[in-house]
Amino acid sequence: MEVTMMNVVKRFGNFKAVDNLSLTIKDGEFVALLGPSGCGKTTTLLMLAGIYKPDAGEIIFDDKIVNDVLPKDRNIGMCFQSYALYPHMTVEQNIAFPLKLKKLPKKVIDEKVREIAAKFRIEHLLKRYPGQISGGQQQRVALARALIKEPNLLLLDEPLSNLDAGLRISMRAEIKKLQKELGITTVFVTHDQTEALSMSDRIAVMNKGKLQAIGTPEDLYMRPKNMFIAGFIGNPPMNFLEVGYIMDGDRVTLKGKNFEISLPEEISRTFIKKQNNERIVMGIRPEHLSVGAEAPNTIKGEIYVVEHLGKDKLVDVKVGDDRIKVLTGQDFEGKMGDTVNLHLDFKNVHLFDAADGNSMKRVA
Amino acid sequence: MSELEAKILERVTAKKASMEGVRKFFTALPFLGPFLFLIILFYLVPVILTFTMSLTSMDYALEWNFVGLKNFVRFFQDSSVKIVVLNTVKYVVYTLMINVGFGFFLAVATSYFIKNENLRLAFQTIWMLPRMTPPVVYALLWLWFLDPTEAGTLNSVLHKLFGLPAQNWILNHPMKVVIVANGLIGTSLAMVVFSAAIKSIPVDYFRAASVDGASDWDVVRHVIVPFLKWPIMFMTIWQTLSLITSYEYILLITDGGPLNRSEVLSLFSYHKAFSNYEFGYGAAISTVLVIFAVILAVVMLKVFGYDAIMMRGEIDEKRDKDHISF
Repeated sequence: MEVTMMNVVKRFGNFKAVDNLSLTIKDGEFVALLGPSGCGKTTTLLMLAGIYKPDAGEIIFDDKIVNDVLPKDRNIGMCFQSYALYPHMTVEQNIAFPLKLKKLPKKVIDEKVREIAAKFRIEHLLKRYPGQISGGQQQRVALARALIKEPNLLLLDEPLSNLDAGLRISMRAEIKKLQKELGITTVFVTHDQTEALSMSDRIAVMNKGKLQAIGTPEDLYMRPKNMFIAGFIGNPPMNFLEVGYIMDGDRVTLKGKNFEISLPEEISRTFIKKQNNERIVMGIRPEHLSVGAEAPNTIKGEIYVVEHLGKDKLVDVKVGDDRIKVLTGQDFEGKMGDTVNLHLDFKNVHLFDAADGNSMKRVA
Repeated sequence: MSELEAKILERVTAKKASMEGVRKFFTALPFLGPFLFLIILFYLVPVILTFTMSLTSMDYALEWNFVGLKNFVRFFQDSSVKIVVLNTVKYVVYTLMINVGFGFFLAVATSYFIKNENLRLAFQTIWMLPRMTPPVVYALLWLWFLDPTEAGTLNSVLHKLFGLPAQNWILNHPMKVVIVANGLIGTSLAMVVFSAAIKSIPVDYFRAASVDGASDWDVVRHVIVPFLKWPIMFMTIWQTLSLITSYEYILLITDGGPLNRSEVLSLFSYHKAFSNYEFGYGAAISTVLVIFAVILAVVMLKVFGYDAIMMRGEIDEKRDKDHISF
């Protein structure tokens, strides 16, 4: 089912939880709503579920406006962060509940419950109560309950946040595979970018009730539209440095307080032009910086601290008043106080307008 | 481990546990002490005194003449007891239905269906008003409302609306009047307790149910009622016990009349003791009442599955470990 939200607004008193949101989710697509807490992503999900009614705008399932359709008539499956399994019902009764409400014959219900329980590998738990099974099992029961009535739309509200780290990684793959198998349109709310990047076809990033960007994980990572996206997507986050913009022929030079970087011509051309000496923001990810020999067109700084991350090291470098994070290999041997030269991967330098935070990348 | 060893181990742990229990009791004594003292003084001592008194033929002379079980024999042979017991059962069952049933209805109506917080509060406050009224005033209001003359509130309303003749409600329907008057005042307590319980159900359950396809009625049946099992049980037991022993509204409205038609056991005991000055016999009736109430409470706790409610939610850890598959 294709889901469209058009200029949707939701207010709570004077607070605009969702502000003029427009979004189209294609049939069978897996979309993540990503954003910090309080950004309106759960409110958006609850509007899709029909639990909240939008104050303005339209929610459209295929060609039908569903603003006034009750949740029970929308044929959606939903999985909650708390799982919301009814504690007084056994696992079997929990899974069967949506079908029981549809008043299907008992034989059909039993058969379907057995079928889906086999799929989720929970057959041995059917007679137990939710309080008697583990978190991962509860998660699968909740998914089974959401999917048993073969909904047109699956809504997942932070489904993995109550699981421990190991289980979370395996459930991530499990849910993604299941979604592709069933081909069911899915909206997934999360504040964890790793989940969003690893599971979804497209990510809609929200902040303060507004949609910041929607795109594939690669798009958002490689070509962030603004500083919010650039800083939000990617871990460790992107470094931002305020610089002066100087145009010399076809070459752009970025003048910081303690460094000067000239971008190659072919890179310079990919950015829109600015006035000379205008203040802009340069962004570069820790993984696109490296430590090397003293050379022109590098940034000189002093190591502030070195963090071990297991497979690599995160080096915090002090450049004047700024701090730059650099991801290096495990073999890096710099110590606190050492002077280092940072080499930039020019292809991955981002420039942003200092005033509105929008990317200066030319749209191809 | 052999079976014998297991048994010995069990014994030893049980003994250790009981020692631990004694120590814990003494540690808790300073905290429990004052309340234990009050409970003994105001609950246990009266029960013992009543029971002792029931073995005497005490009358207005207030002399402790022990007569054995004579009072109890008299009780089971008394011809009015049959009517009084029947009245008590009727009174308790019907009042309970209004108390708990209507209380539940009000709680659902005000906490689930009315989403506006101020409106909810206004309705609940209105239902709380009789609670705050002194019993004598409340009973007096009923007497005015049911006044047998044409000027009585109910009579004049019915006359204006349907042209019905005035009638003496208390004389014609003493039991019904008593039940309705008591039932309505009791609903507010159940309403408050149930409302609080409904408010404490995590909102995700309501959302999950509505997404699963539940109508409002389904939500009430499959979510609210099961979550309110414990409060409903508590209110039922509480109200049953307080109804069995309460008589003040009956005393004030009908005084058990006409001719025992609204006389219940507790009021019967009161009448025997304080109208006829047969303290011994009155005490015997009270004793029967206490024994009956205790038996009833135990039976009700069993029927409602008190243990099961208290025990549920413990994870069966050992078996769980074997089954985590991903």
